[in-house]
Amino acid sequence: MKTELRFCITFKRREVYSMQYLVANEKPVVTNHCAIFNCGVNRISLLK
Amino acid sequence: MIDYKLSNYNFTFPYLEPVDGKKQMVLYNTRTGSMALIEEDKYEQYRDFEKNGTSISEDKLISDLKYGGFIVDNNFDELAAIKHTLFLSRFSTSSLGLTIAPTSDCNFRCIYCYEKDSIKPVTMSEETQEDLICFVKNYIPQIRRFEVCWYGGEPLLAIEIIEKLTVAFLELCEENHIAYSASMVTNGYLLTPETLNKFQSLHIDDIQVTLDGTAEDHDRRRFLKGGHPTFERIIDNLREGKDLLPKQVSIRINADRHNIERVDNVIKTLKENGLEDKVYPYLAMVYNSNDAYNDNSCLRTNESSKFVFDFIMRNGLNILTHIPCQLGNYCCADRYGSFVINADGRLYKCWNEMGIEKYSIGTLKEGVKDCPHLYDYMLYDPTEDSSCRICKFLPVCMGGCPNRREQAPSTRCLAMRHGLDSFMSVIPSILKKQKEKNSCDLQAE
Repeated sequence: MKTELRFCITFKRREVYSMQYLVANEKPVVTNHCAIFNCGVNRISLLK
Repeated sequence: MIDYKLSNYNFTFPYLEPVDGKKQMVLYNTRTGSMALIEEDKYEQYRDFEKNGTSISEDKLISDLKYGGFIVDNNFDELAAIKHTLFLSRFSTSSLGLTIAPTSDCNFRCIYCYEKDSIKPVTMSEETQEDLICFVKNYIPQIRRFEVCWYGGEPLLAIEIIEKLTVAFLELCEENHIAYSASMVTNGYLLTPETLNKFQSLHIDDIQVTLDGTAEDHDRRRFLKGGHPTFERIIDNLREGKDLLPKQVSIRINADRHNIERVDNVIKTLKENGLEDKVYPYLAMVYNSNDAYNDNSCLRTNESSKFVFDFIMRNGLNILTHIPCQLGNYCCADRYGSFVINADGRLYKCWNEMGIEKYSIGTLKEGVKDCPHLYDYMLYDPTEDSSCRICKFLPVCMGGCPNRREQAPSTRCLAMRHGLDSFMSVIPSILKKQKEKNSCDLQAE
């Protein structure tokens, strides 16, 4: 589960819309972890 | 005739900063994760369609709204799409994820520990280690990725077992061209530079350590089994080993009514020790799992989101990690290729259940057995749940924590449902600035 990739991909998308998309059509996250206990580990972003 | 309809998963928020002098709104869709700014006049068209069913006059706006899933074709069944996403993820055979306790012993005796009745001085035997390697081998032909999370008890009490198993896992993965990664949840007491030095060869690239506020708070809640304090030693370890830390280190701060007022102290301490750029602190709520703690000490789900938001804002932390993610499956409990393995070789589906034999779904030696508990997790379908199927948060919650659904249903839902407004008052403008910066960087290249 690599949350950080979501935004990197989005930001590189060329802007062609009359609405300004900040995030668009992200892929669902598939995880093998506990979502509650390990949420920090899984949600670190490279945008820090 | 209008051949499109509004998505059931749209949220709208005001955008607080005008863009080029024009007022904007934020549209956000939980099914697609899309977030967009829309000018006020265009928003009026959207709003008119939503309220009165008046068709949207601009074709470009229709296609733009469709792009992010804010409107969908009339015959598109969003619930079916969510169910399809869930099943694809839940029953995928492309990866194996194991949470492994090399020992069920722990050097700590935390006051809220949900494993306190399961802590035993049992270390994984050589026979069980062999059984584990055989268990992994059975999955090798079908997987492309193998993820391990070292857990416990305290996993660093059995570092030699971790080293031995990693050698076997890496060999299997290399032979079969399978990607391998590992993480660890540790209390940090034994996380010395000598131990950190081993992490690269163990492929452990993210770890979690817990600090609970001030040294006094922490030591009152997370002490050694003899009662000795632990805060100072953990901070010393992190500071002395900071150049050896894996690239992802999260600092979990377990909060409840007794320490919530002083959780910022962790940030202060991290800064004082030069660790602010090395670790990612996050606030988490203590729950009364397995009846191991006092309900009255716990913060309620509807309070926690506000505490988390205020904590992030006060301390200048990265709020973007809190954008809700669309989920496939929820966690290891509802995923075919995920198991929690105790030191005695018993298999479980949930971290909270490790060591409680009635929740075991099999053993390494005998494999997974048919049992109602397994089916409760694997066959639950939130798109058929009367509450969830009408909830706009369904795509980012998927019915919530499977364990809490059984133990304490009122706490199962995504906490963010109580605080999305606050987060959305800040996140879009940060994303916009980030996007503009990124665009400038690309142009400069």
